[in-house]
Amino acid sequence: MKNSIWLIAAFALTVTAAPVSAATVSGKVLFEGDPPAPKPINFGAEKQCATMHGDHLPVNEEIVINPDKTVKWALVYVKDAPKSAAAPAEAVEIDQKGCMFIPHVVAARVGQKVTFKNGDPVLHNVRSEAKTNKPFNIAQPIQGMTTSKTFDKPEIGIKMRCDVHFWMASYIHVLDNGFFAVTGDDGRFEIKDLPAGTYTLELWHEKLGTRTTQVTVVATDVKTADFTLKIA
Amino acid sequence: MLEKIQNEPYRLFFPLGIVLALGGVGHWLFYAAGWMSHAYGFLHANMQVMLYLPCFVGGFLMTAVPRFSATWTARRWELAGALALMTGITGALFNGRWLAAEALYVLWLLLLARFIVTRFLKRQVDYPPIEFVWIPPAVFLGLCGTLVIILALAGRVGPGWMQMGRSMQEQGFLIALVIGVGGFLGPKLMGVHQMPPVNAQNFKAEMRKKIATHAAGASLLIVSFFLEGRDGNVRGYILRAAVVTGMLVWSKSLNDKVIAGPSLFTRALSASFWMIAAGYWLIPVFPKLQVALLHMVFLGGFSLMISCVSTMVVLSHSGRGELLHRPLWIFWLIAAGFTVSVSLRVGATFFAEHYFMLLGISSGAWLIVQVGWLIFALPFILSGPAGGVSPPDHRKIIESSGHAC
Repeated sequence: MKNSIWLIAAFALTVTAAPVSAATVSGKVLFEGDPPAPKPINFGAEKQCATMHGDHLPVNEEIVINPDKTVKWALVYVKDAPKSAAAPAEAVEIDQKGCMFIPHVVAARVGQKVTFKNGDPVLHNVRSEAKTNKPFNIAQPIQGMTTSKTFDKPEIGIKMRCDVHFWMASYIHVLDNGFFAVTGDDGRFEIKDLPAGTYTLELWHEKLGTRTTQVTVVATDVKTADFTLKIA
Repeated sequence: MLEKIQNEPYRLFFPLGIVLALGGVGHWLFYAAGWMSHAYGFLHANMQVMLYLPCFVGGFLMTAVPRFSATWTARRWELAGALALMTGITGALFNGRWLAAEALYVLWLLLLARFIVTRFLKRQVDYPPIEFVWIPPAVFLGLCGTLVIILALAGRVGPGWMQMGRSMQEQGFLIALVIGVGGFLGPKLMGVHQMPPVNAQNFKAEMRKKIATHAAGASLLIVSFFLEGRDGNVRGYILRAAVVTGMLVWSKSLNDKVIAGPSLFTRALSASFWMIAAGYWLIPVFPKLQVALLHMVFLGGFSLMISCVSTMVVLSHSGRGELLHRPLWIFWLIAAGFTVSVSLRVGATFFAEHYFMLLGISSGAWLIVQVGWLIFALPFILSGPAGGVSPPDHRKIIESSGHAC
């Protein structure tokens, strides 16, 4: 009798502990055609900015094609996913280092802190060109100083600029759920814990445009969806 | 008018300096107001250092040096050359031709040096002001710094050298002139200069001692820039602060006239010397605030001093020197405008969300002072005899310089 009770309890635990949303969608963002040659940043007279890079001067990150012909800095997100729980407590960080925004693209949740840091001994500012959220322009005149902001509404492709160093640009994507990823050096994305359902998966790139695809998942599916981009 | 300008080049270069400064500072106001999309920090610094300040320095020295040396006034080609170089530098900066701008600035420094040296060598007075021995180190620092910048821009030396070059060019040239020419003129204008008792026996010994002290100070100032080096080492600023303070105390340029001065002019002039010393001491204490505190030196120090001294020049050369110690509206404007401008420029650092707005207001206050000065000074600049007038207070300054040496 006792053993039966333990067995029933263990079974109940297993059933209740099983995740409801456990689907994963992953894939690659590929590039078709000849990759454009990387354009070195022209620092002009701002030699102090150039100093910080030594011999390895940075390149423009508008279009970054990895050696395996995958695309970096593309946002892939589930367009019509259910809203997730409250935003994470940890902040998303963007550093102004070597007169560049690092990283070039970030994604954050609505209400999640985004912290901007000035890692340089020169004046930078962070000006957001938000259209749905409230735009702002904050100066960062001291090395090491940080400023935090939150965005109240979802918005894709908020451009951030430094007006003192005109080549500096980055993008923040603000979403109201956690089902998104930004591709890195391997051009891959992975979106986990998606509830069962049919969704629109959208890709957004600052220069190569947007793509969408439909994906249907059930509880513990692992689906693959690749995107291919090219220069128009 | 040309003859007036040849006799007193300040009549051309003081107004020109202000017009050029409107461009060098105005864009902060336009950016804050949303009329410009970029903030051109590099352009601002270069316009102020290569145009606004040199116009006043050149206008003053090209007027004063012939008088102190009792030699010939500015030749037409010297005026034309200086004007052409200012125009060239302006064009080069606005077109982003940084290398060309720096090269033209080198030519301007050489033109100024030649102007002074030729008149010094052919001087008709035995002893020009000893403090003018600071002019060669000033030109050296300006030339050295600019050449280092040129080499860095051209990729001939590492970009790290730019930091040192800019310090020498931006600060070295001016601070040497402030210690020298300012240290000579300032105490006299503030009424604190005391002529030591002179007799035939101790005169030459006193002269040698003074020259040795100035030479030591200048050497240490130059060393401070190499100590600052390519990474902005604070040891350089500590040495610079010590040299500046020591020399300005010795010359009595640092005094209590900032509080006890009999006129607004005296208090403002005294305040400018204090701002320079204070700014330089605060930098090693708060190294992260270096840029803001350098504005204390440049804005509250050099620029305020220029406003005061240029007012003196304009009034005294128009035979209206007696107005200098009256509470004229221009002195109220200078006092109020610079107080707002310096406070907001330094304070803006602590208000990131409102930084550019505060910078815009600071710039606006400074621009109002400059335009106000132009409105005040132009009637005096445009009138007056061709040879200028030496009213009693200005003549006393010239005469006392001979006795002081």
